[in-house]
Amino acid sequence: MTMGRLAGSKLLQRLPVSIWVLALIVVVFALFLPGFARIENLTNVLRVGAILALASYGQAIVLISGGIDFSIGSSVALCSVTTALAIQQWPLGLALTVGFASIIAVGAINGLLVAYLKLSPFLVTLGMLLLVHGFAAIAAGGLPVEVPDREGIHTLSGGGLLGVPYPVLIAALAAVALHVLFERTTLGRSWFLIGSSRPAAEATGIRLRRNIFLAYVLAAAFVGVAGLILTSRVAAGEPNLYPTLPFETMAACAVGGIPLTGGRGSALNAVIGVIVIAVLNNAIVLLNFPAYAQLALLGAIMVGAVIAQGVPSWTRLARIRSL
Amino acid sequence: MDTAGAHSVSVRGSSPISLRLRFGLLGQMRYTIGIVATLVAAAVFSAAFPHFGTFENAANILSLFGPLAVLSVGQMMVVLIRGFDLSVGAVFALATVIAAEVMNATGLVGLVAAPLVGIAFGLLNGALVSYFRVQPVIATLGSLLLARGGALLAAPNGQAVIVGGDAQAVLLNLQLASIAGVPVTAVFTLVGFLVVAFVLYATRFGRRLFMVGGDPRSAALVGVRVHAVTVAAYAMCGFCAGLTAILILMRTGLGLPTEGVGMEVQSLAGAVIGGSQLSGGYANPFGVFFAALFIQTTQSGLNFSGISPYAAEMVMGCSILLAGLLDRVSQRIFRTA
Amino acid sequence: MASASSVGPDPRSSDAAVIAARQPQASARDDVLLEARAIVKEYGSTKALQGADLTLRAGRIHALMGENGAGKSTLVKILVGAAVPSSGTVALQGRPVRFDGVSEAIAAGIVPIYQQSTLFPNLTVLENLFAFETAALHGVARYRSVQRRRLAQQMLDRIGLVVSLDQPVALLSLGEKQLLEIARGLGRDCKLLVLDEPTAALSQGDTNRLFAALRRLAAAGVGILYISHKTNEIQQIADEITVLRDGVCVISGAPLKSTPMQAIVSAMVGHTFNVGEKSLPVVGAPVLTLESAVCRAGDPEISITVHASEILGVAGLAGSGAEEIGAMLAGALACASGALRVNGRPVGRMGDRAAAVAAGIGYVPADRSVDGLFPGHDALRNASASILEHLTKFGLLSSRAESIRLSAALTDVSLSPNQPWRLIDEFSGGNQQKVLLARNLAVVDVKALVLVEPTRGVDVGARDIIHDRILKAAAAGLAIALISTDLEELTSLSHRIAIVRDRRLTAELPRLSSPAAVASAMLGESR
Repeated sequence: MTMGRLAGSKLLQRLPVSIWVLALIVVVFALFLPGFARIENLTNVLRVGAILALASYGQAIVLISGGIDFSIGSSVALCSVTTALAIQQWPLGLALTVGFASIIAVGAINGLLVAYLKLSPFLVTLGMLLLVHGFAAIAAGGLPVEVPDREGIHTLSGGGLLGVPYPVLIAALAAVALHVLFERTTLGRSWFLIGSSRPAAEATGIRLRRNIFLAYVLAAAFVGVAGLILTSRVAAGEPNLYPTLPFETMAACAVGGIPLTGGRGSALNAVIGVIVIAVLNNAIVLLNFPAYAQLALLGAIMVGAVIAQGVPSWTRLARIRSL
Repeated sequence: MDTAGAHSVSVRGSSPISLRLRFGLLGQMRYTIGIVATLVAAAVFSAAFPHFGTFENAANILSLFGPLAVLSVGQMMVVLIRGFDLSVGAVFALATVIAAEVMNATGLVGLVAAPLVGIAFGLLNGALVSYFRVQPVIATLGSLLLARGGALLAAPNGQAVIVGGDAQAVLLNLQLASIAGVPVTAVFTLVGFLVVAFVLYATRFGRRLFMVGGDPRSAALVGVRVHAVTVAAYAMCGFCAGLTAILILMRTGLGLPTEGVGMEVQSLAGAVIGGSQLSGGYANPFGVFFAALFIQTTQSGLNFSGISPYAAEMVMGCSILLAGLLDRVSQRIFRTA
Repeated sequence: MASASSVGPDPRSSDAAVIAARQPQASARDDVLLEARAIVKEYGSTKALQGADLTLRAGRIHALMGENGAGKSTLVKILVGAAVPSSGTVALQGRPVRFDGVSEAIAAGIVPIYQQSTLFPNLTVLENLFAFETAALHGVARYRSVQRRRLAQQMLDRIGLVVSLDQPVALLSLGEKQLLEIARGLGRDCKLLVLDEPTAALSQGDTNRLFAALRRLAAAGVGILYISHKTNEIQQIADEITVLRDGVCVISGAPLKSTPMQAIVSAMVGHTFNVGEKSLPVVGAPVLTLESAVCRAGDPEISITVHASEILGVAGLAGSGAEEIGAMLAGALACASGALRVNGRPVGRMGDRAAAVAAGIGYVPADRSVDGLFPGHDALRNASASILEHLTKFGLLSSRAESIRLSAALTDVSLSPNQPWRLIDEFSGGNQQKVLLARNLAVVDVKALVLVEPTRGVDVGARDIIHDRILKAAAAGLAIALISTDLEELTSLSHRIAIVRDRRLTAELPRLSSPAAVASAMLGESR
């Protein structure tokens, strides 16, 4: 939630609220949680978070343009299955391309149904969640597809440059790309306007259908990269790869300050939200909390963060002059 | 996420006659889609599979569709006021676990714990959405996670809790009993729907639900306590989740923490196929009743055919897409979007 | 709450009592009904009201005027129970009251009728008429009874509204909806009726019916608070007037007969204002043409031509099709057949706003809060929305270009305060409308403007600025279509006025026609 630019604003005032929350959490954990502040642990947090980050960038695009995407988990699963199937016959590069393309295909279908048929993104992506999952499971024959040990399959997820894992580098670069997309392209700007008021966007001459369709396709591109990294990590075709992914991306966006009503947000918000979630998950693991606590805690934090972000706008609403 | 998309540039004046027709005849048609679809599905599957069209199979379907129907009508209440509840599946799982454990401690009377759990989560959802202004997606997603976590916590080692003792026998008898060939569970379901219909159409509270769903701002301006109505609607949805837990306990005798995954999506489909609109203001419990019957008939039919459960999942996905199409078409016809 | 309930019928009484108590309680004329003293309302650090007084008497129609931001809406909210004053007292018939919500005020006999519709489109006329009861009471709904239906029909008859009780309100025309809203308000047991811009969407005939009903109510002892921007209507209907400016009463309860309009306007604006005749630029060649456009099969054909430097007024009652014609002219409405041309060249597909913008057609739609503005974004972003493609350098948006270009455009329309980085939500209605105008004037190579109700809900000062800007645009060569129900605006600004009735163009009136002539043309033959 970036605040409106104030007269003579300083950089500090322009930072989202969530960054202070993140700073607080990190400091508290660093001081009181044994094992947190070690380089290996932090690197691991970033590595795990990178995948969530890429998927969250995609969710952010869709949210800002006024939509929502529940099908992310199923499409990365589809990616792993199609890659695993393709790799039986074809070289690694081609197989990965097939996997990426399958995620784009899902995004395109979502985009077509939402933009051109004007169906509710809620129902469309929920339906696709089931459709794609079922399809992936049938294609995989019900069991995870084994992948022959191929050279380089793990490079994408396991390798690194100067000690920084590839996924983290990719996520960082993608964040910059996302920022440029949002702030510096007419397409990106149109998403904010469409999310803010669809009829007004139409009246100003913005091409609604094309731009909303592109939102889902470009979102799929980011999710596609996440899918490739995941596939590289597990090196198998797994229909149940990451079923909670869509919920985690929504949580990350919400915590980071991207409202689900659309029209507002930034790349920085998504990044911060992801890091908060990754850090909290890490804390749960370090504290040896059982898995169900992880779920419950995630839920509580997500809701708490959204409530906390709502508070300043309650006072702002009161200030707004009525008619 | 703008599901309502107010669009005043479509300033089309329309001839009064055609509009009256739209609201008269067609107005009721959207609620009858469930009946038609059920008959069509029954006909198709009966033609394809000889054992499908039997009285026993029909009774079986009737005894099975209750949980989805009740869950869907709860969802309908919330969709009516422009919301939705993604936590129903997790909440009813939690309710089965807790009720099972309470029954093991105190006997059949522990069954009442199920609706209580449901109402508690309903109140939480309602408060989050109204007083704290959290979007329904986030609020109910949060409760979903809380409930799921809670269910795993409440069940020892995350395993099912078996209802024992006298309670078990009573539940089993109820499940198997039937009145004039119609399973008792179906009768319960019907009675539940009649109560909902009464509340919705005969009471002022029901009217207030329609008002809040039709135009929440106007509702506030004429003096409706919108927050209270919202909380009540979500509480009723939670209550329905609790009732669903009772029906499931009757069927399985188990409190299973992993139950109900995907049911929130199905209940939403049930509500939409039953004539509700995601943008709120329209609801009919009988439409939902038959929509749930249709979904169950289709699922039974697919089971009969022996195809892979994943194919059934794909069919379910398609019917949700169709529900989306239906929602859009009805919004176009009734000019609410 | 306790004090409020003792002055009105107990809402929890039986239905029979409620029905019987329908007659407004007779108060002697000129009894003080409601007295508000020294009302202060603060929202955080902003003071919306800084000590306002208002005395409302039975049987009197009291006008309340003021520019936007003067505190009118806030004062009204406090009176109807939607807000609580930070300090100051409100007394109803001598007893101090403090309402804890709108339903309490309603129960006490203060009935609000808002500018924005508070009807429920998914419910029937009958259900809407009893909305207040449904909101406040519990138990089984009994509005289907014969007694209730008779009562509902009486409410409709009183205002002269002819609709079926069982019709869904979504089907009613805008004018019918507004009348229904008023019928609902009038039908209640009512000590004080508060009307907020009630004639915004009403035709002259409907307005006359409303005024007749108001006078009847006043004669029966009901007090009426009438909030409006329309000075001519105030002169027609009101007995006394209060003017708010910057949170205080500049004129307080002055009798209207002895207060000249000039004094009222300058009280509102703070300086004397000349409402003079405007001189219009000379008309040039045809620019924007709509040829044989048919919206849906079976609709009449519409052909319109707007010339360079011309302001074409398009007048029609709500629901007559005038707004639709505006949308067609702007390329915002897809049509079954016909063509839209700019300087002879066709503008893509009809209904393709992107093509229309590329061809240089600007469009300010009727309902700015729904179709025009982007809430949550600053004024600059709101203004730049139509020309994003032209603000790029090497394919990327340049915020510097955006800032320079649009800041100039916003200064040109006298945005006040001139702070384009502020959120659009924080500006008054008049300033929001200015931003919309700036957005369209900034369109690259703009050739035509279609403006629908450009000064609806806009205060006098902003209205004048907008009118001036429209004239300047015309002088610069733009073809302007002005779709409006504001007769003064139409007659003072237009070169000629096209009349729309039943979705067809029925007449054309020349420059300087009187508002009365335009009004009767809009109504057609006597009704």
